[in-house]
Amino acid sequence: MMAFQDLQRQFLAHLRNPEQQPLPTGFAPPGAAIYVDLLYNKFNDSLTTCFPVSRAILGETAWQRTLKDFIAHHRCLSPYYRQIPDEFVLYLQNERQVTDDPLFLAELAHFEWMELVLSIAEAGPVAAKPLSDAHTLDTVLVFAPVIRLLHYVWPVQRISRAYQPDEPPLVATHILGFRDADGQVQFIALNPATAGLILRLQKHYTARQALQEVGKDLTPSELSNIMLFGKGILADLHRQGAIIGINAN
Amino acid sequence: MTKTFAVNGAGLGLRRELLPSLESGVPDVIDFFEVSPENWMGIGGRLGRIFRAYTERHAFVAHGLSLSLGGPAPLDIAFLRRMKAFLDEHNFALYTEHLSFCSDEGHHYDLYPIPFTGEAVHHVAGRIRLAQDILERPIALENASYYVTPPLAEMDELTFINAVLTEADCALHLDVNNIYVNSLNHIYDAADFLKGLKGERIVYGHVAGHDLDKSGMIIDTHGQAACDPVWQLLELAYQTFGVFPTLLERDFNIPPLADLLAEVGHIADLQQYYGYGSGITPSADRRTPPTVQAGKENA
Repeated sequence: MMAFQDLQRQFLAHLRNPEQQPLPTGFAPPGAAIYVDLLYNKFNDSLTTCFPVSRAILGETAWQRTLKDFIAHHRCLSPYYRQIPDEFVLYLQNERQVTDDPLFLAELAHFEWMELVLSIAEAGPVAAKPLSDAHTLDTVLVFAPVIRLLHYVWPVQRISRAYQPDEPPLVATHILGFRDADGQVQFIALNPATAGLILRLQKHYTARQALQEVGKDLTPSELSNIMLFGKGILADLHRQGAIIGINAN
Repeated sequence: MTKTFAVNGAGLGLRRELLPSLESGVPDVIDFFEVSPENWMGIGGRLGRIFRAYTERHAFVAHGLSLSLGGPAPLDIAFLRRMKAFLDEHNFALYTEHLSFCSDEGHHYDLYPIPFTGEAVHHVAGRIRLAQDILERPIALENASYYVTPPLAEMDELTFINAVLTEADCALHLDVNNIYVNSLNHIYDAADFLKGLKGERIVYGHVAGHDLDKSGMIIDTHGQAACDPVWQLLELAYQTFGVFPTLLERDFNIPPLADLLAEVGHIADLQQYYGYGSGITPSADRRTPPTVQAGKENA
Protein backbone atom coordinates (compact mmCIF):
# COMPACT_ATOMS: atom_id res chain seq x y z
CA MET A 1 0.00 0.00 0.00
CA MET A 2 1.19 3.51 -0.75
CA ALA A 3 2.30 5.61 2.21
CA PHE A 4 -0.50 8.15 1.82
CA GLN A 5 -3.10 5.36 1.90
CA ASP A 6 -1.64 3.93 5.05
CA LEU A 7 -1.98 7.39 6.54
CA GLN A 8 -5.60 7.64 5.39
CA ARG A 9 -6.47 4.37 7.11
CA GLN A 10 -4.81 5.42 10.35
CA PHE A 11 -6.64 8.72 10.22
CA LEU A 12 -10.04 7.03 9.74
CA ALA A 13 -9.26 4.51 12.48
CA HIS A 14 -8.61 7.41 14.84
CA LEU A 15 -11.83 9.21 13.89
CA ARG A 16 -13.84 6.04 14.59
CA ASN A 17 -12.16 5.29 17.87
CA PRO A 18 -10.34 8.40 19.12
CA GLU A 19 -9.88 6.98 22.62
CA GLN A 20 -7.94 3.91 21.53
CA GLN A 21 -6.49 4.65 18.09
CA PRO A 22 -3.81 7.37 18.09
CA LEU A 23 -4.00 10.31 15.70
CA PRO A 24 -1.20 9.77 13.18
CA THR A 25 1.73 12.13 13.56
CA GLY A 26 1.47 15.31 11.54
CA PHE A 27 -2.26 15.93 11.88
CA ALA A 28 -3.23 18.90 14.03
CA PRO A 29 -5.33 17.58 16.96
CA PRO A 30 -7.90 20.44 16.96
CA GLY A 31 -8.77 19.80 13.30
CA ALA A 32 -9.01 16.05 13.85
CA ALA A 33 -11.26 16.67 16.86
CA ILE A 34 -13.67 18.56 14.61
CA TYR A 35 -13.93 15.50 12.37
CA VAL A 36 -14.49 13.25 15.39
CA ASP A 37 -17.39 15.46 16.49
CA LEU A 38 -18.83 15.71 12.95
CA LEU A 39 -18.80 11.93 12.64
CA TYR A 40 -20.48 11.39 16.00
CA ASN A 41 -23.10 14.06 15.36
CA LYS A 42 -23.90 12.74 11.92
CA PHE A 43 -24.53 9.24 13.25
CA ASN A 44 -26.38 10.60 16.27
CA ASP A 45 -28.75 12.67 14.11
CA SER A 46 -29.58 9.71 11.91
CA LEU A 47 -30.09 7.22 14.74
CA THR A 48 -31.97 9.56 17.06
CA THR A 49 -34.53 10.15 14.31
CA CYS A 50 -34.99 6.45 13.63
CA PHE A 51 -34.78 4.98 17.15
CA PRO A 52 -36.51 7.36 19.58
CA VAL A 53 -37.81 4.60 21.88
CA SER A 54 -34.49 2.72 22.07
CA ARG A 55 -32.72 5.95 22.85
CA ALA A 56 -35.19 6.94 25.56
CA ILE A 57 -34.88 3.53 27.20
CA LEU A 58 -31.08 3.51 27.16
CA GLY A 59 -30.87 7.05 28.52
CA GLU A 60 -28.37 9.65 27.39
CA THR A 61 -25.20 8.15 28.88
CA ALA A 62 -25.75 4.61 27.65
CA TRP A 63 -26.92 5.95 24.28
CA GLN A 64 -23.67 7.86 23.81
CA ARG A 65 -21.63 4.82 24.84
CA THR A 66 -23.60 2.63 22.45
CA LEU A 67 -23.13 5.06 19.60
CA LYS A 68 -19.39 5.36 20.19
CA ASP A 69 -19.06 1.59 20.30
CA PHE A 70 -21.06 1.28 17.07
CA ILE A 71 -18.87 3.84 15.30
CA ALA A 72 -15.68 2.23 16.63
CA HIS A 73 -16.48 -1.39 15.85
CA HIS A 74 -18.94 -1.56 12.99
CA ARG A 75 -18.02 -0.98 9.34
CA CYS A 76 -20.83 0.73 7.46
CA LEU A 77 -20.77 -0.92 4.05
CA SER A 78 -23.68 1.07 2.69
CA PRO A 79 -22.73 4.14 0.63
CA TYR A 80 -26.07 5.72 1.61
CA TYR A 81 -26.21 7.98 4.64
CA ARG A 82 -29.87 7.12 5.09
CA GLN A 83 -28.90 3.50 5.74
CA ILE A 84 -26.96 4.21 8.93
CA PRO A 85 -30.03 2.81 10.78
CA ASP A 86 -29.74 -0.41 8.72
CA GLU A 87 -26.11 -0.66 9.78
CA PHE A 88 -27.03 -0.03 13.41
CA VAL A 89 -29.59 -2.86 13.38
CA LEU A 90 -26.93 -5.20 11.94
CA TYR A 91 -24.52 -4.13 14.65
CA LEU A 92 -27.04 -4.77 17.43
CA GLN A 93 -27.96 -8.17 15.98
CA ASN A 94 -24.48 -9.46 15.18
CA GLU A 95 -21.67 -7.47 16.76
CA ARG A 96 -22.89 -5.98 19.99
CA GLN A 97 -20.91 -7.31 22.94
CA VAL A 98 -22.23 -5.21 25.79
CA THR A 99 -23.96 -7.37 28.36
CA ASP A 100 -25.94 -4.84 30.38
CA ASP A 101 -28.26 -3.90 27.52
CA PRO A 102 -31.97 -4.59 27.95
CA LEU A 103 -32.46 -8.04 26.42
CA PHE A 104 -35.11 -6.72 24.04
CA LEU A 105 -32.89 -3.95 22.59
CA ALA A 106 -32.04 -5.55 19.22
CA GLU A 107 -35.66 -6.53 18.58
CA LEU A 108 -37.01 -3.16 19.66
CA ALA A 109 -34.55 -1.37 17.37
CA HIS A 110 -35.47 -3.68 14.51
CA PHE A 111 -39.14 -2.84 14.96
CA GLU A 112 -38.43 0.92 15.10
CA TRP A 113 -36.33 0.60 11.94
CA MET A 114 -39.16 -1.17 10.08
CA GLU A 115 -41.15 2.04 9.89
CA LEU A 116 -38.33 3.68 7.91
CA VAL A 117 -37.83 0.61 5.72
CA LEU A 118 -41.50 0.33 4.82
CA SER A 119 -41.96 4.04 4.23
CA ILE A 120 -39.24 4.27 1.55
CA ALA A 121 -39.23 0.77 0.00
CA GLU A 122 -39.43 0.92 -3.78
CA ALA A 123 -42.70 -0.33 -5.26
CA GLY A 124 -45.21 0.73 -7.87
CA PRO A 125 -48.37 2.59 -6.90
CA VAL A 126 -51.09 0.59 -5.15
CA ALA A 127 -54.53 0.29 -6.71
CA ALA A 128 -56.78 -1.39 -4.15
CA LYS A 129 -59.72 -3.33 -5.58
CA PRO A 130 -62.90 -4.38 -3.80
CA LEU A 131 -63.05 -7.88 -2.40
CA SER A 132 -66.32 -9.68 -3.02
CA ASP A 133 -67.57 -12.24 -0.58
CA ALA A 134 -67.51 -14.93 -3.26
CA HIS A 135 -63.82 -14.40 -3.90
CA THR A 136 -62.49 -14.26 -0.39
CA LEU A 137 -61.95 -17.95 0.26
CA ASP A 138 -61.23 -19.45 -3.15
CA THR A 139 -58.89 -17.12 -4.96
CA VAL A 140 -55.29 -16.18 -4.26
CA LEU A 141 -55.35 -12.84 -2.46
CA VAL A 142 -52.94 -10.04 -3.32
CA PHE A 143 -51.19 -8.16 -0.53
CA ALA A 144 -49.91 -4.58 -0.54
CA PRO A 145 -46.58 -4.58 -2.43
CA VAL A 146 -44.64 -3.24 0.56
CA ILE A 147 -45.37 -5.61 3.43
CA ARG A 148 -43.48 -7.55 6.10
CA LEU A 149 -44.78 -10.22 8.42
CA LEU A 150 -42.73 -9.66 11.57
CA HIS A 151 -42.11 -12.07 14.43
CA TYR A 152 -40.56 -11.05 17.73
CA VAL A 153 -39.86 -12.77 21.01
CA TRP A 154 -40.54 -9.50 22.84
CA PRO A 155 -43.73 -7.39 22.72
CA VAL A 156 -41.88 -4.66 20.82
CA GLN A 157 -44.91 -2.53 19.98
CA ARG A 158 -45.71 -2.09 23.69
CA ILE A 159 -42.20 -1.49 25.03
CA SER A 160 -41.55 2.02 26.28
CA ARG A 161 -39.71 3.73 29.12
CA ALA A 162 -42.65 2.82 31.33
CA TYR A 163 -42.88 -0.81 30.20
CA GLN A 164 -39.59 -2.71 30.04
CA PRO A 165 -40.15 -6.44 30.53
CA ASP A 166 -37.31 -8.53 32.00
CA GLU A 167 -38.51 -11.76 30.50
CA PRO A 168 -40.22 -12.47 27.20
CA PRO A 169 -43.88 -13.40 27.41
CA LEU A 170 -44.91 -17.00 26.64
CA VAL A 171 -46.60 -15.98 23.42
CA ALA A 172 -44.50 -14.56 20.60
CA THR A 173 -45.42 -11.21 19.05
CA HIS A 174 -46.57 -11.17 15.43
CA ILE A 175 -47.01 -7.92 13.57
CA LEU A 176 -48.01 -7.18 10.00
CA GLY A 177 -46.28 -4.03 8.78
CA PHE A 178 -47.21 -2.58 5.40
CA ARG A 179 -47.59 0.59 3.35
CA ASP A 180 -51.18 1.35 2.43
CA ALA A 181 -52.55 2.91 -0.77
CA ASP A 182 -52.09 6.41 0.74
CA GLY A 183 -48.41 5.71 1.36
CA GLN A 184 -48.90 5.46 5.13
CA VAL A 185 -47.05 2.78 7.09
CA GLN A 186 -49.32 0.67 9.30
CA PHE A 187 -48.62 -2.01 11.87
CA ILE A 188 -51.29 -4.52 12.86
CA ALA A 189 -50.78 -6.81 15.86
CA LEU A 190 -51.76 -10.39 14.99
CA ASN A 191 -52.65 -13.42 17.06
CA PRO A 192 -50.66 -16.56 16.20
CA ALA A 193 -53.52 -18.09 14.19
CA THR A 194 -53.87 -15.02 11.99
CA ALA A 195 -50.09 -14.81 11.56
CA GLY A 196 -50.13 -18.48 10.45
CA LEU A 197 -52.94 -17.75 8.01
CA ILE A 198 -51.08 -14.78 6.48
CA LEU A 199 -47.87 -16.78 6.22
CA ARG A 200 -49.70 -19.38 4.12
CA LEU A 201 -51.52 -16.78 2.02
CA GLN A 202 -48.16 -15.24 1.18
CA LYS A 203 -47.15 -18.62 -0.22
CA HIS A 204 -50.07 -18.24 -2.63
CA TYR A 205 -52.46 -20.60 -0.90
CA THR A 206 -56.13 -19.70 -1.26
CA ALA A 207 -57.69 -18.77 2.06
CA ARG A 208 -59.66 -22.04 2.09
CA GLN A 209 -56.47 -24.09 1.61
CA ALA A 210 -54.71 -22.07 4.26
CA LEU A 211 -57.53 -22.37 6.78
CA GLN A 212 -57.89 -26.11 6.14
CA GLU A 213 -54.22 -26.53 6.91
CA VAL A 214 -54.40 -24.36 10.03
CA GLY A 215 -57.45 -26.33 11.23
CA LYS A 216 -56.45 -29.78 10.03
CA ASP A 217 -57.20 -31.47 13.36
CA LEU A 218 -60.66 -29.95 13.80
CA THR A 219 -64.15 -31.44 13.37
CA PRO A 220 -66.19 -30.38 10.30
CA SER A 221 -68.34 -28.01 12.34
CA GLU A 222 -65.31 -26.43 14.00
CA LEU A 223 -63.72 -26.07 10.56
CA SER A 224 -66.79 -24.30 9.24
CA ASN A 225 -66.53 -21.87 12.18
CA ILE A 226 -62.86 -21.29 11.28
CA MET A 227 -63.87 -20.48 7.70
CA LEU A 228 -66.32 -17.86 8.95
CA PHE A 229 -63.73 -16.50 11.36
CA GLY A 230 -61.13 -16.43 8.57
CA LYS A 231 -63.45 -14.57 6.21
CA GLY A 232 -63.97 -11.92 8.85
CA ILE A 233 -60.23 -11.51 9.36
CA LEU A 234 -59.55 -11.25 5.64
CA ALA A 235 -62.27 -8.62 5.25
CA ASP A 236 -60.62 -6.66 8.06
CA LEU A 237 -57.18 -6.93 6.45
CA HIS A 238 -58.67 -5.74 3.18
CA ARG A 239 -60.41 -2.82 4.85
CA GLN A 240 -57.12 -1.85 6.54
CA GLY A 241 -55.25 -1.97 3.24
CA ALA A 242 -52.98 -4.99 3.78
CA ILE A 243 -54.90 -7.03 1.19
CA ILE A 244 -55.51 -5.07 -1.99
CA GLY A 245 -57.43 -7.52 -4.20
CA ILE A 246 -57.37 -10.91 -5.85
CA ASN A 247 -54.99 -12.48 -8.30
CA ALA A 248 -56.90 -12.31 -11.59
CA ASN A 249 -55.06 -15.38 -12.88
CA MET B 1 -15.52 31.72 -27.50
CA THR B 2 -18.86 30.81 -26.00
CA LYS B 3 -18.86 27.87 -23.64
CA THR B 4 -21.91 25.64 -23.49
CA PHE B 5 -22.95 24.18 -20.16
CA ALA B 6 -24.99 21.18 -19.05
CA VAL B 7 -27.38 23.49 -17.22
CA ASN B 8 -27.73 27.25 -17.34
CA GLY B 9 -28.38 30.04 -14.90
CA ALA B 10 -28.96 29.84 -11.17
CA GLY B 11 -30.06 26.80 -9.18
CA LEU B 12 -31.13 25.70 -5.73
CA GLY B 13 -30.27 22.54 -3.80
CA LEU B 14 -33.48 20.56 -3.46
CA ARG B 15 -34.04 19.24 0.04
CA ARG B 16 -37.02 17.39 1.47
CA GLU B 17 -37.67 20.28 3.85
CA LEU B 18 -38.30 22.53 0.83
CA LEU B 19 -40.87 20.30 -0.84
CA PRO B 20 -43.93 21.75 0.95
CA SER B 21 -43.11 25.33 -0.02
CA LEU B 22 -42.48 24.30 -3.65
CA GLU B 23 -45.77 22.42 -3.88
CA SER B 24 -47.63 25.39 -5.38
CA GLY B 25 -45.03 25.71 -8.16
CA VAL B 26 -41.35 26.26 -8.81
CA PRO B 27 -40.47 29.98 -9.01
CA ASP B 28 -38.99 31.14 -12.32
CA VAL B 29 -35.77 32.30 -10.70
CA ILE B 30 -34.79 28.64 -10.14
CA ASP B 31 -33.32 27.45 -13.44
CA PHE B 32 -32.30 24.03 -12.15
CA PHE B 33 -32.07 21.88 -9.04
CA GLU B 34 -29.34 19.78 -7.51
CA VAL B 35 -29.53 16.77 -5.21
CA SER B 36 -27.10 14.29 -3.77
CA PRO B 37 -27.98 11.15 -5.69
CA GLU B 38 -27.18 8.99 -2.65
CA ASN B 39 -30.11 10.60 -0.84
CA TRP B 40 -32.60 9.56 -3.52
CA MET B 41 -31.33 6.28 -4.93
CA GLY B 42 -33.61 3.44 -3.87
CA ILE B 43 -36.29 5.74 -2.46
CA GLY B 44 -39.80 4.60 -3.34
CA GLY B 45 -43.16 5.45 -1.87
CA ARG B 46 -44.62 8.93 -1.78
CA LEU B 47 -41.21 10.65 -1.68
CA GLY B 48 -39.98 8.66 -4.65
CA ARG B 49 -43.05 9.69 -6.67
CA ILE B 50 -42.57 13.35 -5.78
CA PHE B 51 -38.91 13.19 -6.78
CA ARG B 52 -39.76 11.63 -10.12
CA ALA B 53 -42.28 14.39 -10.81
CA TYR B 54 -39.52 16.98 -10.22
CA THR B 55 -36.91 15.30 -12.40
CA GLU B 56 -39.45 14.92 -15.21
CA ARG B 57 -40.15 18.66 -15.21
CA HIS B 58 -36.86 20.33 -14.26
CA ALA B 59 -33.15 20.18 -15.04
CA PHE B 60 -31.13 18.41 -12.33
CA VAL B 61 -27.50 18.18 -11.33
CA ALA B 62 -26.27 15.23 -9.25
CA HIS B 63 -23.71 16.17 -6.59
CA GLY B 64 -22.32 12.91 -5.27
CA LEU B 65 -21.06 12.19 -1.78
CA SER B 66 -19.99 8.56 -1.48
CA LEU B 67 -17.68 7.74 -4.35
CA SER B 68 -14.59 8.30 -2.20
CA LEU B 69 -12.47 9.25 -5.21
CA GLY B 70 -9.40 9.62 -3.02
CA GLY B 71 -10.11 6.62 -0.81
CA PRO B 72 -7.68 3.78 0.01
CA ALA B 73 -10.17 0.95 -0.71
CA PRO B 74 -11.04 -0.09 -4.28
CA LEU B 75 -13.75 1.91 -6.06
CA ASP B 76 -17.20 0.43 -5.44
CA ILE B 77 -18.02 -0.78 -8.94
CA ALA B 78 -21.47 -2.11 -8.03
CA PHE B 79 -22.32 1.27 -6.55
CA LEU B 80 -21.07 3.04 -9.70
CA ARG B 81 -23.33 0.84 -11.82
CA ARG B 82 -26.33 1.72 -9.65
CA MET B 83 -25.31 5.36 -9.90
CA LYS B 84 -25.21 5.18 -13.70
CA ALA B 85 -28.69 3.63 -13.81
CA PHE B 86 -30.00 6.33 -11.48
CA LEU B 87 -28.41 9.18 -13.46
CA ASP B 88 -29.83 7.73 -16.68
CA GLU B 89 -33.26 7.09 -15.23
CA HIS B 90 -33.69 10.68 -14.05
CA ASN B 91 -31.84 12.25 -16.95
CA PHE B 92 -29.36 14.21 -14.83
CA ALA B 93 -27.61 16.93 -16.80
CA LEU B 94 -24.36 16.75 -14.84
CA TYR B 95 -22.66 14.61 -12.20
CA THR B 96 -20.10 16.07 -9.83
CA GLU B 97 -18.07 14.61 -6.94
CA HIS B 98 -15.64 15.85 -4.32
CA LEU B 99 -11.86 15.81 -4.45
CA SER B 100 -11.73 13.99 -1.12
CA PHE B 101 -12.28 10.59 0.44
CA CYS B 102 -15.03 9.35 2.73
CA SER B 103 -14.27 5.70 3.46
CA ASP B 104 -11.82 2.85 3.78
CA GLU B 105 -13.74 -0.43 3.98
CA GLY B 106 -16.41 1.40 5.98
CA HIS B 107 -18.26 4.60 5.07
CA HIS B 108 -18.05 7.71 7.25
CA TYR B 109 -20.54 9.88 5.33
CA ASP B 110 -18.15 12.83 5.63
CA LEU B 111 -15.45 14.27 3.35
CA TYR B 112 -11.78 14.15 4.27
CA PRO B 113 -8.75 15.76 2.61
CA ILE B 114 -6.39 13.59 0.58
CA PRO B 115 -2.66 13.98 1.32
CA PHE B 116 -1.26 16.31 -1.33
CA THR B 117 1.26 13.87 -2.82
CA GLY B 118 2.23 12.86 -6.34
CA GLU B 119 1.10 9.30 -5.74
CA ALA B 120 -2.27 10.58 -4.60
CA VAL B 121 -2.60 12.64 -7.79
CA HIS B 122 -2.10 9.52 -9.92
CA HIS B 123 -4.38 7.47 -7.69
CA VAL B 124 -7.29 9.94 -7.82
CA ALA B 125 -6.87 10.69 -11.51
CA GLY B 126 -6.92 6.98 -12.35
CA ARG B 127 -10.08 6.47 -10.31
CA ILE B 128 -11.79 9.44 -11.93
CA ARG B 129 -11.08 7.99 -15.38
CA LEU B 130 -12.36 4.56 -14.32
CA ALA B 131 -15.49 6.05 -12.78
CA GLN B 132 -16.13 8.12 -15.90
CA ASP B 133 -15.83 4.97 -18.04
CA ILE B 134 -18.39 3.10 -15.95
CA LEU B 135 -20.76 6.06 -15.66
CA GLU B 136 -20.35 6.80 -19.38
CA ARG B 137 -20.32 10.51 -18.61
CA PRO B 138 -17.75 13.03 -17.40
CA ILE B 139 -17.33 13.82 -13.72
CA ALA B 140 -16.88 17.41 -12.63
CA LEU B 141 -14.56 17.49 -9.63
CA GLU B 142 -15.28 19.83 -6.73
CA ASN B 143 -12.63 21.51 -4.62
CA ALA B 144 -13.52 20.47 -1.07
CA SER B 145 -13.31 22.13 2.32
CA TYR B 146 -11.16 20.57 5.04
CA TYR B 147 -10.25 21.20 8.66
CA VAL B 148 -6.91 19.51 8.97
CA THR B 149 -4.00 19.48 6.54
CA PRO B 150 -2.76 15.93 6.05
CA PRO B 151 0.96 15.37 6.53
CA LEU B 152 3.25 14.01 3.77
CA ALA B 153 2.38 16.94 1.50
CA GLU B 154 4.69 17.25 -1.50
CA MET B 155 2.81 20.23 -2.94
CA ASP B 156 0.23 22.80 -1.89
CA GLU B 157 -3.51 22.34 -2.29
CA LEU B 158 -3.76 24.50 -5.41
CA THR B 159 -1.02 22.55 -7.18
CA PHE B 160 -2.69 19.31 -6.11
CA ILE B 161 -6.12 20.28 -7.49
CA ASN B 162 -4.68 21.48 -10.78
CA ALA B 163 -2.51 18.37 -11.13
CA VAL B 164 -5.52 16.06 -10.64
CA LEU B 165 -7.64 18.05 -13.11
CA THR B 166 -4.87 17.87 -15.71
CA GLU B 167 -4.00 14.23 -15.24
CA ALA B 168 -7.64 13.09 -15.15
CA ASP B 169 -8.51 15.59 -17.89
CA CYS B 170 -11.73 16.37 -16.09
CA ALA B 171 -13.91 19.39 -15.44
CA LEU B 172 -13.85 21.58 -12.34
CA HIS B 173 -16.85 22.16 -10.13
CA LEU B 174 -15.83 25.36 -8.38
CA ASP B 175 -17.06 25.91 -4.83
CA VAL B 176 -16.19 29.47 -3.83
CA ASN B 177 -17.39 28.95 -0.27
CA ASN B 178 -14.93 26.10 0.15
CA ILE B 179 -12.11 28.33 -1.03
CA TYR B 180 -13.18 30.99 1.44
CA VAL B 181 -13.51 28.53 4.35
CA ASN B 182 -10.14 26.95 3.59
CA SER B 183 -8.46 30.32 3.17
CA LEU B 184 -9.48 31.29 6.71
CA ASN B 185 -8.77 27.92 8.29
CA HIS B 186 -5.44 27.41 6.55
CA ILE B 187 -4.44 31.05 6.15
CA TYR B 188 -4.05 31.81 2.50
CA ASP B 189 -5.33 34.42 0.08
CA ALA B 190 -8.64 33.26 -1.35
CA ALA B 191 -8.49 35.53 -4.41
CA ASP B 192 -4.99 34.40 -5.35
CA PHE B 193 -6.04 30.79 -4.90
CA LEU B 194 -9.12 31.26 -7.08
CA LYS B 195 -7.13 32.95 -9.82
CA GLY B 196 -4.60 30.13 -9.75
CA LEU B 197 -7.18 27.47 -10.59
CA LYS B 198 -7.57 26.08 -14.10
CA GLY B 199 -10.56 28.30 -14.84
CA GLU B 200 -11.03 27.00 -18.37
CA ARG B 201 -12.14 23.71 -16.78
CA ILE B 202 -14.97 25.23 -14.72
CA VAL B 203 -18.38 23.89 -15.73
CA TYR B 204 -20.37 24.53 -12.59
CA GLY B 205 -20.27 26.47 -9.33
CA HIS B 206 -21.47 26.41 -5.74
CA VAL B 207 -22.09 29.23 -3.34
CA ALA B 208 -23.03 28.62 0.30
CA GLY B 209 -22.72 29.78 3.88
CA HIS B 210 -20.80 28.42 6.84
CA ASP B 211 -20.58 28.56 10.63
CA LEU B 212 -17.93 29.42 13.18
CA ASP B 213 -17.03 26.50 15.45
CA LYS B 214 -16.18 26.98 19.12
CA SER B 215 -12.61 25.99 18.25
CA GLY B 216 -12.34 29.03 16.01
CA MET B 217 -12.45 26.92 12.86
CA ILE B 218 -14.90 27.85 10.09
CA ILE B 219 -17.13 24.87 9.32
CA ASP B 220 -18.63 24.38 5.88
CA THR B 221 -22.13 23.65 7.19
CA HIS B 222 -24.26 25.21 4.45
CA GLY B 223 -26.27 26.37 7.42
CA GLN B 224 -26.23 30.16 6.85
CA ALA B 225 -26.74 32.62 4.02
CA ALA B 226 -23.63 33.17 1.93
CA CYS B 227 -21.56 36.04 3.35
CA ASP B 228 -20.26 39.07 1.43
CA PRO B 229 -16.70 37.80 0.95
CA VAL B 230 -18.08 34.61 -0.62
CA TRP B 231 -20.25 36.63 -3.00
CA GLN B 232 -17.19 38.70 -3.84
CA LEU B 233 -15.28 35.53 -4.67
CA LEU B 234 -18.10 34.45 -6.96
CA GLU B 235 -17.94 37.83 -8.69
CA LEU B 236 -14.19 37.50 -9.02
CA ALA B 237 -14.65 34.04 -10.55
CA TYR B 238 -17.17 35.41 -13.09
CA GLN B 239 -14.85 38.33 -13.88
CA THR B 240 -11.80 36.13 -14.24
CA PHE B 241 -13.19 33.06 -15.95
CA GLY B 242 -16.54 34.13 -17.39
CA VAL B 243 -19.97 33.20 -16.06
CA PHE B 244 -20.89 29.57 -15.30
CA PRO B 245 -24.05 27.93 -13.94
CA THR B 246 -24.10 28.30 -10.18
CA LEU B 247 -26.13 26.79 -7.39
CA LEU B 248 -27.00 27.91 -3.87
CA GLU B 249 -26.46 25.15 -1.30
CA ARG B 250 -28.43 25.23 1.91
CA ASP B 251 -28.53 22.06 4.00
CA PHE B 252 -29.20 23.13 7.58
CA ASN B 253 -31.04 25.83 9.44
CA ILE B 254 -33.21 26.22 6.36
CA PRO B 255 -35.02 29.59 6.18
CA PRO B 256 -38.29 30.36 4.36
CA LEU B 257 -38.10 29.77 0.61
CA ALA B 258 -38.31 33.51 -0.08
CA ASP B 259 -34.95 34.04 1.64
CA LEU B 260 -33.32 31.34 -0.48
CA LEU B 261 -34.89 32.78 -3.63
CA ALA B 262 -33.33 36.16 -2.83
CA GLU B 263 -29.92 34.49 -2.83
CA VAL B 264 -30.64 32.50 -6.00
CA GLY B 265 -31.82 35.75 -7.55
CA HIS B 266 -28.55 37.37 -6.56
CA ILE B 267 -26.64 34.66 -8.43
CA ALA B 268 -28.81 35.36 -11.48
CA ASP B 269 -28.22 39.11 -11.19
CA LEU B 270 -24.47 38.65 -10.99
CA GLN B 271 -24.57 36.32 -13.98
CA GLN B 272 -26.47 38.86 -15.99
CA TYR B 273 -24.16 41.64 -14.92
CA TYR B 274 -21.03 39.75 -15.85
CA GLY B 275 -22.47 38.56 -19.15
CA TYR B 276 -23.98 35.13 -18.86
CA GLY B 277 -22.29 32.55 -21.02
CA SER B 278 -20.26 35.08 -22.97
CA GLY B 279 -17.03 33.95 -21.45
CA ILE B 280 -15.88 37.52 -21.89
CA THR B 281 -14.74 39.61 -18.98
CA PRO B 282 -16.78 42.81 -19.00
CA SER B 283 -14.72 45.93 -19.48
CA ALA B 284 -15.03 48.79 -17.02
CA ASP B 285 -18.73 49.19 -16.57
CA ARG B 286 -20.49 51.96 -14.76
CA ARG B 287 -23.23 49.76 -13.44
CA THR B 288 -22.65 48.59 -9.93
CA PRO B 289 -23.05 44.91 -9.17
CA PRO B 290 -26.38 44.09 -7.55
CA THR B 291 -26.53 43.35 -3.86
CA VAL B 292 -28.72 40.94 -1.96
CA GLN B 293 -31.89 42.71 -0.85
CA ALA B 294 -33.47 40.33 1.60
CA GLY B 295 -32.98 37.21 3.55
CA LYS B 296 -29.32 37.53 4.39
CA GLU B 297 -29.30 39.17 7.75
CA ASN B 298 -31.80 37.03 9.57
CA ALA B 299 -30.72 33.66 8.24
